[in-house]
Amino acid sequence: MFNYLANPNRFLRFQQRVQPWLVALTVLVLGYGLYLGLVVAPPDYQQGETVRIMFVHVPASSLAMGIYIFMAVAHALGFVLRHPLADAAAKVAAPIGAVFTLISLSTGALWGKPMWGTWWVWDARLTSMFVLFLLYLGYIAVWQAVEEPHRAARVAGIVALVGVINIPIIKFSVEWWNTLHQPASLLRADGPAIDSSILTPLLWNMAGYALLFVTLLLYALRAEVLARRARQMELAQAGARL
Amino acid sequence: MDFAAKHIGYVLASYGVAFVLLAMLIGIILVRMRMVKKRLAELEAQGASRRAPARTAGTGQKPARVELVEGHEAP
Repeated sequence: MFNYLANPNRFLRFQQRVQPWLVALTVLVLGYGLYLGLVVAPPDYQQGETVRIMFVHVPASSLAMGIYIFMAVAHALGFVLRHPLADAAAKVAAPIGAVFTLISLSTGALWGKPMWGTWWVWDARLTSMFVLFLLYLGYIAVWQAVEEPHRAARVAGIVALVGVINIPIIKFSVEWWNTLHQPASLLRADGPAIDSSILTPLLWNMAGYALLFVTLLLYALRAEVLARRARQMELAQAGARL
Repeated sequence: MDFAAKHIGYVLASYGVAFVLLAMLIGIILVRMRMVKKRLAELEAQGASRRAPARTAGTGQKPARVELVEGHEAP
């Protein structure tokens, strides 16, 4: 599949075939996740209704980190295997990752105010998440600033690969430092520390967000492939005029 | 969900912020696709091709191949 999609024409055909199914599946899973999260899940015995913020905040935070890892892996494959779509996939994933990071930061602040009594503290988890947002912005800026696409891909790849060091810092920040943010309650060695009445809606929402990312990524990648074709046509046209 | 519960405004604001940001993201992606398709249609109407024109017309030399995606030639 990986090699099969190395050909942009095959990718375009593949994206066209799977798009309606992906959109339908995303709407169904995300819709069901929202129903479970807003209607079925009970209020928490300590946090009350504010626990429902978890169903937006946690999936967005997981994806914010996951998308950055995806970008770093894509660039590594671009460097090593010269996969034609790897750099393009990383490029179009960045704005999606930036939006999920912004959702994570803003919903975290909206959760923090009633629970901690403050919108923001410069603790290790919140700060490292903010650094991730800045890394996304920097990565996007590289693609905008460097005109020559090969060079832009190389510089952006370095930003992605160096910046990925921030991901374990985000993940383990709550264990390495004394933070206001709670420790991990989902990905733990001894299993999730969340009751199934809250865990089930959370997992559905995480699946829905992940599907939304894949759907948007493939559609944005289609636009990127077509944009590069248009650029080549413009270059060929300009060459013909010379 | 109890709409009269304490702090319910923070819950609604969280979902609202997520909805607005995701709607903006989807909108930007859709607008970009529309612009790209429009540009491609304009170029095709002008007879533009992805192949560079042959510099030595009439010599039997093949025109240079233009990359399908930059850095990678079409198979």
